[in-house]
Parts: sequence; structure tokens; C-alpha cells
Amino acid sequence: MTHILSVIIFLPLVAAIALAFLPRLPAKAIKYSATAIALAVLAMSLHLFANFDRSLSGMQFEVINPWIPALSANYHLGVDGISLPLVVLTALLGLVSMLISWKIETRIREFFIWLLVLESSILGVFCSLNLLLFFIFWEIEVIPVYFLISIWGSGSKRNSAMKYVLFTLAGSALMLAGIVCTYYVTGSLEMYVLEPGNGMGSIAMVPVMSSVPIFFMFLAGFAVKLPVVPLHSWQPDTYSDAPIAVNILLSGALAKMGAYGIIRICISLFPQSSQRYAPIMLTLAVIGIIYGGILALRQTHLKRLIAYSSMSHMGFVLLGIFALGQTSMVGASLQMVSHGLITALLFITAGIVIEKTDKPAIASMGGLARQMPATATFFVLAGLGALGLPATSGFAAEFTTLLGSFSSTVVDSAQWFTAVALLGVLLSAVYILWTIQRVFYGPALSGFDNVRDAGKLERFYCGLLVIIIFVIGICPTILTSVIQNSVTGIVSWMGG
Amino acid sequence: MHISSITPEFIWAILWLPLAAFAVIAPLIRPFPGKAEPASFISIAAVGVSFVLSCWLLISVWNADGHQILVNGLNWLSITNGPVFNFGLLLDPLSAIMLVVVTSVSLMVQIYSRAYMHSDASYRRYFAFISLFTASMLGLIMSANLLSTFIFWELVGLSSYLLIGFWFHRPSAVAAAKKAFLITRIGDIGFLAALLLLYSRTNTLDILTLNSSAVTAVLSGSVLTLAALGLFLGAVGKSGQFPLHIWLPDAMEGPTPVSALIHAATMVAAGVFLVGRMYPLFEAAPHALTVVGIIGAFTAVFAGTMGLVMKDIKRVLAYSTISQLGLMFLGLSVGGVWVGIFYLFNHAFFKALLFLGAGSINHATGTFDMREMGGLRKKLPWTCACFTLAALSLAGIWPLAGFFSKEGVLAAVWDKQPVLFAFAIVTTFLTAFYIFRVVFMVFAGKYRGEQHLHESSKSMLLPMLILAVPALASGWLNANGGFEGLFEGHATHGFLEGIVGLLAHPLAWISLATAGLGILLAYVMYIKVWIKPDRLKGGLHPVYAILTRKYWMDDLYENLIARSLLYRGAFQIAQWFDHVVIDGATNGVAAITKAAAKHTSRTQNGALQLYALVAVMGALIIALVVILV
Amino acid sequence: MNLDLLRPEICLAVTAVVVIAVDLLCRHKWLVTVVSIAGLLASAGLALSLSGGASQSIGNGLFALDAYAIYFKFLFLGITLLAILASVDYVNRLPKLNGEFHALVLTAALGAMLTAAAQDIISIFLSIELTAISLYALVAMLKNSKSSESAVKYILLGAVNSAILLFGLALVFGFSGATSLHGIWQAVHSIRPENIAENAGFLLGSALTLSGLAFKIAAVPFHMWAPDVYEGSPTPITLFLSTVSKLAGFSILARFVIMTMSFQSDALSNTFGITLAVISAASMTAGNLLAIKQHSIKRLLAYSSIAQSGYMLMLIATAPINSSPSTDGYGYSLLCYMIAFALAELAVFTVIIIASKHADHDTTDDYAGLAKRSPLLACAMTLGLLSLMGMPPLVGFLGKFCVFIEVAQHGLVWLVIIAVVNSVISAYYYLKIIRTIWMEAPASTDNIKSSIAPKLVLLVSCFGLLLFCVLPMLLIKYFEWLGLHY
Repeated sequence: MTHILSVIIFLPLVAAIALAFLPRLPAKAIKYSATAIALAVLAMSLHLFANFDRSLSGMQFEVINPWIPALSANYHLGVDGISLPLVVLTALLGLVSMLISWKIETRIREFFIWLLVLESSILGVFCSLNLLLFFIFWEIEVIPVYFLISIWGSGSKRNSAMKYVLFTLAGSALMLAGIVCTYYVTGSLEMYVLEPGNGMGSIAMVPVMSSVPIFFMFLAGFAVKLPVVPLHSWQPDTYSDAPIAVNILLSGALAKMGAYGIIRICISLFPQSSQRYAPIMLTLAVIGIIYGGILALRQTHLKRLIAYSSMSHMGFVLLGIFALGQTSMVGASLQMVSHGLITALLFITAGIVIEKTDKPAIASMGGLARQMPATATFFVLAGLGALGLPATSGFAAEFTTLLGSFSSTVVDSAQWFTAVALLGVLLSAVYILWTIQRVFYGPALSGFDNVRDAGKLERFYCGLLVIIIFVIGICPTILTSVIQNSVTGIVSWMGG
Repeated sequence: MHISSITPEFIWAILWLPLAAFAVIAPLIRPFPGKAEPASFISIAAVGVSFVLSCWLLISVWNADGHQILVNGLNWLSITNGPVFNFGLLLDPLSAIMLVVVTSVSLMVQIYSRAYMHSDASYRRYFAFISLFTASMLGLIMSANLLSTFIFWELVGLSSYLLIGFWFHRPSAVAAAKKAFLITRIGDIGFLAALLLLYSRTNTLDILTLNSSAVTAVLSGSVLTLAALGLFLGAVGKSGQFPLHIWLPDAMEGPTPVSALIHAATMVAAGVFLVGRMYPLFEAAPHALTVVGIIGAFTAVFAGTMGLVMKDIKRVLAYSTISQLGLMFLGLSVGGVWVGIFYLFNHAFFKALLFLGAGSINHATGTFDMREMGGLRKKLPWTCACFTLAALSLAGIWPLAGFFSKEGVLAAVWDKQPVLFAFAIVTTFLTAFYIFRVVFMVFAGKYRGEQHLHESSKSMLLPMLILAVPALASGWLNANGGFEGLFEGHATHGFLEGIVGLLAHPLAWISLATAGLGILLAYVMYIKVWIKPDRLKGGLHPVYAILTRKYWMDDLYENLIARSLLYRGAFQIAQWFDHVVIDGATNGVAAITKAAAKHTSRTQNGALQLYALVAVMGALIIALVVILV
Repeated sequence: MNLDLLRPEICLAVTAVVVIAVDLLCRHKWLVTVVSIAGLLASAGLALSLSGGASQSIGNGLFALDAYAIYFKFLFLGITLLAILASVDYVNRLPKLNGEFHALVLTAALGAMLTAAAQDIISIFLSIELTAISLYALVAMLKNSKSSESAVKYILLGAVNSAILLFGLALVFGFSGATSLHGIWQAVHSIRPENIAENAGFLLGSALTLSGLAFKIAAVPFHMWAPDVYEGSPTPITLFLSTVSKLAGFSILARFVIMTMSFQSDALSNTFGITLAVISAASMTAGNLLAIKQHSIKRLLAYSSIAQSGYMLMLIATAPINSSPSTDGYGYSLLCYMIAFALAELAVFTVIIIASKHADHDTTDDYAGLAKRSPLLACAMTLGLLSLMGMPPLVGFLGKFCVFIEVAQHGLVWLVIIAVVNSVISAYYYLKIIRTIWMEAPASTDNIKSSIAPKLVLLVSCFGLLLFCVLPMLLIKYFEWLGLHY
């Protein structure tokens, strides 16, 4: 069972290669096999989740074997409290995106190949503990997304795909420079070894080159992915033009890679710099929350609105991370999982609405609750999760983050930032309710009379997501028990 | 007779029963288009049992030691060296009484709704949301942890949103629902801020510990005041007090039983309950109570004036609720918890009765506009009797419940804040005038509409009659000082002496006189028509205009702040900034690289001599650099 | 003058002659290819027998036989073999020149191998000219206006540069008094920092030699010829130019820089280091910027190979800073990057050879929808371009990563930043080609027919691209077997 992580990561990749070379597969076979693979990955990750030892704070299910000894880069995988929920989330969203893609007709084989490659690269990022391995998985993800958006997307898909790739590559180029400098300064690429706690001599101590520029190189790379405010201009275009299946993985899993990277590399490897520059990042986080909320209010295209709302919610994650408190960090990880589920459900329902009425603009919709009651209910439930209504995971996450960052002792100015972030909570209520009113309530428009409601399969996975959202909302200890101990490890270097 | 004290399982049952009813009805919403009856039976049964249990609970709390039962509950969230929240139940006189009020009014309203909503298509969805509301309201009352209060607080807000926007095909209802949710949400943000502040200082959100820490001055000074004001902001949002009151009149878009249950008796009272529950905090905070009093008094008069000119029965009753809530907050701030809660206790019954009466009038005349009614006492005798009885009680006429609770507030205000006493008296006059304006316009004179009038069915009248009893008699509970004793715990005096003795007090006569004056003025204007209302309207035209436009508060909020200042102002600038600056910057970078590419590629013009020249110049430059540097 | 140490080179020369004879005597043209492939394999076998021994000099110092030279021997033989295989169809289209084509390619390969091994000023110049002249003739092979125009450009600019190179070498010899690089190394080492003034002649000489060699690898100030020549010449020759001739230039440049620029005073060696770094940064940026606007795929690949030579030059810029005389100082990163570069260029150019119908000008749009017409070509092209871009799962990324680490190790972090930003710009135009291949509707519907050999070359290069990143241990074992130590 020691190699379960490698199996989880490479199963989709192997399946993708197999799909590529098997001649003349019927469409149905491709769809079923891809879904079976995604299901297997989900089963294995749930198995991991079950026997994860909640009391330990270090890495579990570790695999280390030498890969390039010259560069001290070895094939090192491991999962801890922060990355495990994200692995399960990715596996779940992967399965849901496979199910959604059963409706794809053009070039089915390529679509599922790219989707499997994308899923395995994201899983790879969450499990790898070596900087080089982390970077390789981080970069692999760009190509499938480029192909998925530019072939199966909608609207100006070509240049939003190109915009996404160039933004991500620019971010990862900076990250590569950071990795190179880290290797140059410490001579090792092992994340786990580099952490100050393990006596390898934290990066900050080595006088050869101050660790602040390296910290900011990494941070820039992750900020593009998150997206933090000034670097976010790719997000609305990409989210509104990508096909739904990719949208879910993009907003659900890829945005979390940025946040996970910040926790795993920026905070753990550079505790002093993250403490010194926390106020700047908190300002960016709060700007992200308010700015995302305001712009979401102004959008007329349904998917762009959800994109901006996702940016606003990721602002909460950043707030939780850089408050550097034990509770706020747990809240941030909880928010990552809950935001992944809620935004995925929002995108699915928005996709169903747009697909059935083929009108993405909100102005042209109205009174759909009468024709599409199931989709309307799922959208309303997701919306309530998004605005952080109690009993949904949105509230559990947002409340823990706000509580943690308000009472964090490490960053003393965190209180004022949290106070302003409360406005973000209000803004999210405004634009969610405004959308529900414009799209679903109000008099039924005659144009949509022959619109069909969500099919059986769509109701299945929407229901699945709703159940999970409410289970986490009602009893968040399922996740917090996993997350908390590994967060204590990281926060302890901060004196948090 | 000694009844054994209630066991924790039954206390939990009070909360779980309506929740279970919601869980059972919710999935039924679509599959069986056929018979819709079972939904109402399940919901009514659940609330009925809860009502019986809460009566039993009230008795057990009465004879429990220290009048308090604490039930420790399940752990919601615990983080290593971080917060630990476990949600228990705290039952003391305050919550026991509120339980009885909520369950009884909810039971009556649900029985009434069976007939009222009979013809509605989504009958099941209505009962599902009503049980959800009742469950979350009970949860709010019983919770021992401020965080679980906040959770149920927001669930109550959600169910009010769902019920106001019940007929979602009507755009005005949906807009009203959204408005209600957002305005209460602003209040909730205040509540949340207070939670964060309290937690950051005391590392706990347990109500008892917070109250005791306020008393032992662990919490004190500006932090405590800020927290108290945050809680009060939440209460203002939920109870529709002055700055955040604009959603309550619009909430009348929902079905009338909903207005009766939520926007008259229970939800709006949550604000008063919260202040009552965290009273030690408010007492310890230096200025918090005065702020509560001032806002309460001002809202009472402010809403009362607007109630004078409304043409729609439900709008009048809505403004009257806001005004009465103002009085409750005033009573709380001066008289202590029992004054406010006693007022709330009585008000819940007769206001619910007024709304149910308005519902049965609507069933008969098909409208709420008073100008198309008149002379209904002949056709709707029972409704007229109940409505008038409740109106008398609201106005505060002697033997009825309203008089006693109003008396309590006036007495307390008289000796603590004489300035605010004037506000209270003016409110009493206004209340008496506008409620009897409604009574005379609806029941007196001849019928102005052309509907075929008929008395409501028995299943609508029965709950009204049952509610009429407490509307009449609930005041007598405190006749022997029993109600007050439950809270302050000092001795009770004789029963009759309480009822009659009160008359000896000069204050009683002042309030009776003002109420009588109000009724007389209404009588003169609408029955005898000595002063024609429309001539008065002409004379005091500017005043009339202000009142009908609701002091332009709605326009201020919606058009000025929301639309022009924010939506078209600040947010438009943000969108322009995002579009021009951020997107512009990224496209700019791309354009620069393209331009650079264009310029450098112009050098490749294929001329051999240029190539050779560049090569030789390059060599020379390298040589020079190497030698000179 | 132990000639038997030159066995591989002699065998190659003999094969060249035999090829011409075979072309004259018999009618079956495929025999010519078979003979040249046999010759290449024989020469590789002979080189195998030489490898592993201690490093010695041949012809009293003219050529060196160390692990570094042997590595390049195998590299050039391998590339030439694959290039010939790739151009089997191409060459059949012009039957009369079959023999000459193979002979000249073999002599060019011979020249390249000698350049890599050259250790003396005279042998350096001789082997460079041997490669250059055989390439002049090859570029003019097609006899149409475009090909001859680029050939003339190449010859004239080549002549100018040979003059600069010769002048430089002469000055270096004049001031150091020795012709062999080791002699020069001792002379250079003895220069004390204070009397640099009177050795200005030597500095001028080494600067000019640098410029001459920079022309060979098409670094920025001397890159002007590359786009026109790459576009004009027949595609197999462009492949040959951008791999064998460029890598030969790099091999001798590395050896020259190590030997002649390690002064005692690090002030001087720093100036050389910085100039090389500036040249590399300039060629990277110019190469990438110029490639953005290109429509012709061969011109675009010319600029991209200029940028790639910029990346390789980065590492040579660090050489003067560490002053150990042996060429092992480079470690594996430059050699690994060269293999990655060669494989990627092979993959891309072979696809162009197979797919391109009209000989001289084919724009990127001609490759639209290649994925639908033949998935193998599309995949090979995409893998090659992604490796050039430095995408992780491919060996290009590993090469770049090792180069970046080496350069950062020597403190040139600003150069790493420029290189990293450049790889983002390069991503833009590589992705534009990939987009045209995968997403546009096919330009023409006739399916692309090609014999087995080019497909074999594609498979080998794609396999190499993917394998080496997953199992870099193979590369490292190969270097250790050759005798290079890290």
C-alpha cells in the first residue's frame, strides 16, 4: 500500500496514454472507461482519507526514491492534513467533470485524454514534496487546459486560452527562477528537508543571497494562479470561455494549487519573510474580496459573474493564510475545499442554464424556476452556500477564517483587515440574490417554454455536491480534524 | 400538582420535531402532485407536540432551582489550540416563555394556513418552509452558545426570505424578499462583528460565561460597548428598527399567515429576545442601553406617524409592529428584561390576531386596500369581533392585555428617562388613532367594493378565536406580579389587587386618556366625518406628502445609495478600472513585445552588405569592450 | 603521428570517396544511402573502440582524444545518421545530386568531428573551414533562385568571418608564442594583472576569435545570415546547419574559452564572462522577439535556434569565472542541453521534410490541421516544439533546468531571470504553431506519404525526448561511461 500515491497520480495518465493508442474505440466505451478511472481514483483517495492518522502532523503515505541524484532531486511523494482534502476534492471534481463531459460530441477521445492528463497533473502537484517534481506537475497542467479551452470552449476561446497559458507560464517562470535560487542557496530541492523545523538550516539563515527575493518569486508564481487582484485579468475570460468540465477543475482544483503552494512553500520555507510581509498580502486579500464582489455585481454574463465571485472567495483563503493564525489557517484550508465544491455546483447549474437556453447573458433570462425547478433549486442551494449561509460549508469555512484572522496574535493588524473583509460577506449576498432574482424568479418568459430541465445524470451529481456541502456545513469536524495538526506544525514556526 | 421535570430528550425533541417535519415534507415537494394534505398534517402535528412540550418545559423551568435548565450538546467544531464550540441548550424563564409564544402562535397560524393556502399550487412548499422557520426560531431561542444563536439567526433570515418570496412569479414579492434578506444581512454583519470581538477577548462564545464575564468586568470599556452595539445592530436589522426598517413594510408581499407568524409575532421579536438574552452585556456597557432606548423611542414615533397614512391594512399593521417593537426596546433599556419581554409576550398574540383578521378580510373582499372596504361588520361578524378586540388591546384599553404591558413600559420610562416618556405617550396616541382608523374604515360605514362578502370558514375562525383569549387575558398573568417574579424573583402580591390596584396609579389614567383621545379622533374623522380626512390631507399637504413617501427613506436607500451612488458610481469606476487598467496592462505588455518584434525584424531586409557591416561592427565592439574595460 | 587514433575520421573520409564512386558507377541510387549509412556505423564502431582510454593528443598536439571529443564524435555521427535517414525521400526527388549530397554531408560531419577534437590553432581553423566549405556547396544544392541567393550570402559572410577568425588566431599566436591551446594557457596564466597593457594585442586576438566563432553558432551580432540561409537551403541541410554546424561551433568555442580566458586576475576573466553573458542575453531576446512575427516556418525555426544558442551560450559565459583548465568544468548540463536541442530540432525538421510539398517557402498555415491528416507527424512536431519551449515532461525542460542551476551557481542570477522571461515569450510563438496544427481545418486534403526511414527518425527522437526526462539516469550513466566526471 506504500505506493498508493504514485498509483493515484499516474493511473489517469496511463489511462490517457492507453486511450490515445487504442484504435477505433466507440464513444460510449471512452466515456465509461474514463469515468471508471476517475471513480477508481476517487475510491483510492477516499481510502487514503479513511486511514489517514489524524493525530500526526507530518507527512503520511510517503514514497522516496532517487531520481536525479546530481541535483539531489528525488521522487518524493507524501500527503499531510492540508494536501489530503485537496486530493480528495480534485478526485471528486475529476469524477464530476467526467460525468459532465458525457454530453461532448466533437473529438470525444481527445477531450477525455486531455481531461485525464489534467487530473493527474493536479493530483501530482498536491502530492509531490520535491520542488522539481512539484514544478514539473505544475507545468504539465498548462497544455491540457490550453487544448481543452481552445478546442471545446465557447466565445473568444482561442485568445482566452492563449492568455491563460501565457499568464500561467509567466508565473511559473518566476517560480522556476525561485526554485533555481533555492537550490543555489541551500543545495537541496526537498521541500520537507528545507523547512526550518528540520535543522537543514532555513533558507533565511544563509547569507549568500537574502531569501526575500526568492520569497517574492514564489509568491508571484502562486499569486497568478490564485488569482490575486492585480494578476487576475486572465480569470474572467478563461472561466467564461472554458467548457463546464474544465471550468470545474479550473476553479475547483487549479485555484487551490496556488493557495496550497503558498502554504507549502511560501509560508513553510520562508517563515520570517511571510511574517514580515503579511500585511501587504492581507491588503491584497481584502482588496481581492471587495474588488471581486463589486465586479461580480457589475457582470452581465453569468459565468463571468461566478468567476469574479470565485476570486472574491479566494480572497478569503488568502486572508486566512496570511493571518498566520492556527484557526485562520484551518479556516483557509476549509474554505479551499468548500469553495471548490460550491463554485463547481454554481458552474454546473450555470452551464445547464446556458446550455438549455443558449443565452449566457443574464439580462435575457428570467423566471426559469418555473420551467427548470430542479436546476433552480440546485443553483439557489449553491448560491446560499456561496453567501455563507449557516449549515452550508461556506459558513463553516468563512466563519473559522474570519474568527481565526480576527483573533490572530501573529499579525497584529489582521483585525482591521478582517473587519473590512466582513463587507465582502455582504457583497456576496448582494450579487448572489440579485442573480437568483434575475435568472430564476420573476414571471416565466414565453421564450423558454420548451426548455427541458436538468436530466437524471445532472441531478445525480448536483445532488451529490449538495449533500457534501451540507454534510461539511453541519459537521465540519470531518475536515478540521484532518487539517488541524499539520497546520499546527506550520504555524509553530511562526509562534502563532 | 407536582409534574416531573422535563428530561433533556424531550427538550431536544422541541427543536428536532419541526426540523424533522421540514425534512419529511421537503423531498415531497414535487413527486406527488396529488393530495397535498399530508404535508400540513405533519407540520401541524410537529408544532402541536412542540407546543405541549414547551408548556411542560415552562412548568419545569418554573420549579427548577434557579429557574434554569442547562443541556450540554454536541461538539460542532474544535481545533487544537484553537476554538472549541459545542452547542448546548439554555432554558431559563426568558427562553421558556418565548418557546411557548412561538410554538402557540405557529400552531395557530399553521391551522389557519390550512384553509388560507388551500387553493395554492405549491401548498407543500409553504408548509415545508413554515416548519423550517419554526425549527430555526426555536433553535435560536434555546441555544446556549452565541454562535449557534447566530447560525439559527441566519436560518430564520433565510426562511423569511423564502416565505416572503413564496409567490416567486410575482416580481414585487421577489424584490421584497431580496430586500428583506439584504437589510437583515447588514444587521447580521454587525452581529458577526460582535461575535468576533467577543471571541477575540474571551476565547469563548458561551452565553452564560459571556454574561458573567461582563458582570465581573473581564469584558469592559469600549470593547464591550462595541460588542453590545454590534449585537444591537443585529437586533435592529431583524426587528426593523430605525435605520434598517424599510424591509418590513415590503415584507407584506408574502402570504398573510406568514406576515402574522414571522413579521408580527416571532421573527421580528428575535431582536428583542437577543437584547434580553445578552442583557448583562448591555447593562455593563456604559452607553449601550441609552442607545437602545433612544433608537427604540424614536422608531416608535417615526413608524407610528407613517402608519397614519397607509391605505393597505397590512402596511398599517407592519408600521404598527415596528412602532410597538420600538416601545419594547425602550422598555428593555429602562425597565429591565421582564418589561420588554412581557410587552413582547402580549403583543405577539394580539398582533397575530390582527394579521389573521386582515387575512380573513382579504379572503372575503379579495383586497387589502381599505378604500374598497367598509361596513363589513354585518357580513363578517366574528372577524369584526376578534379584530376590534385585538385593536382595543393594541391601543392599551384597560382590562385587555395591551394595557398592562404598556403600563409596565410607561412606568419604567417615567422614572428612568422622563424625556423619552413624551415619545411613549405620543406613540400611544398614534397607535390608538391609526388602529381605530382601520377598524372604522373597514367595519363601519357601507361597503365600497363589489365582492360577494362571506364570513371565513370555520377552520380560519377557530385559530382567531383561540388567539383572542390570550389577546384578552395574557395581561392578567402579571396581575399578581408572577411574570415579573419569574425574572426578578421577588414576592408576588394579590391577583385582583394587581388588576384593579393598577388603576390607582395616575400614570394608568394618563395612558388611558391618550388612548381614548386617539380613538375619539379616529371616530370623529371616520364615523361622524366632522373633520373630512381628505380636507385634512389638503390642509397639511406637506406633512401628508412626507408621510406617504415614507420620509423618502426607501428612495434614499434604493435609488440614491444602492443605484446611483454605488451601482452606477463606485462599482462602475471599479469595472472601468478593471477593464482599462488591468486588462489594458496585460494587453499593453503583449503589444510592446509585438512592437519590439516588428522593429527588430525590420533590420532583416536581406541586404548582404548590412549583414557584413553588422558582423564586423560586432567584432570591433567586442574587441573594444575587452581591451578597454 | 599515431594516425590510428584518427580511425573514425579516416573511415568517414574513405566512405565519402566510396559514395562518389558508387554514385558514378551504378544506377541504383538507394545503394548510395546504404553505403553512407554503413560508413557512419563503421566510424561509430571505431570511435567506440577508442573511447574509455586516458585522454591523449594526436599528431603531437594537433587534436585531442579526450572524453569531451569522443562525446561530440558520437553526437555528430548520430545526428548525421538520423539526418540522412530523414532525407531519404527528399533526396530521391533530385536523383542526379544523390551522390554529391551524401559525400558532402559526410565531409561536413568529418569536419565537425575534427573541430570538436581540435587543440591547436591551425587544426581549429582547418576543421572549421572544412565544415564550412562542404556546407557552402550543400546550401546551393537546389539550384533555384532562392537557394543560390542564400548560398551566396552564406559564402560571402562565411568568408568575412573566416578572415576575422584567422586574424584573431594569428594575433593570439603572435602574443602567446604557442600554437597549441595548452601553450596559450600557460602563457595566459603567466600574465600578471598589472602588465595587461602590453598584452592588448592578445586580448584583441581572443576577442576577434570569439567573434569568428560566434558567427558559427549564429549568436546575436553575427546572426543576420541565419534566417535567410535556413530558409533558402534545402530542409535536410537546414537541419544539418542548425544542429551539427552549430554544435561544432559550440564545442570549439567552449574549449577555446576555457583554455585562453582563465586569467589570474578575475577582473579580466570577468569582463570576458560578462561580454559572453551579454551576447547570450541579446541572442535570446532578439531570437525570441524576431520569431514572433514570422510566417515562414523555417525562418521562425531559424530565430528559435538563435534563441536556443543564446541559452547554450549562457553556460559558456560562466566558464572564464572558474579557471580549471580541463573541459570537464562544464559538467553535464551543457552536454545534456545539446542532446535535448538536437533531438527536438531533429523531430521538428523531419516533420517539415516529410510534410512540406513546395521546396523553398512554406508558411505555418500550410501545416494547419496536420493533426487530422497524420497524427504521428502532429504529435512529433508538438513534442519537439514543447521540448524547445522547455515544457516539463520533455528533456528540453531538464536541460534548461540544469543550465539555469549551473548559471545561478556562478551568481549570474540576472541572466537566469532574463532566460526565464524569454522562455515565456518563446512559448507564444511555439503555441501558435501548435494551435495551427491541432485546431485549424486541414489546409489540403491529400494525405502525406513517406517511407519508413523518416518515420523511424521521428519515433527515435520522440522516444528520446520523453525518455530522458523520465529517466535522466541513462544520460548520466552515458556520460560516466564516456569518462566525463561531474
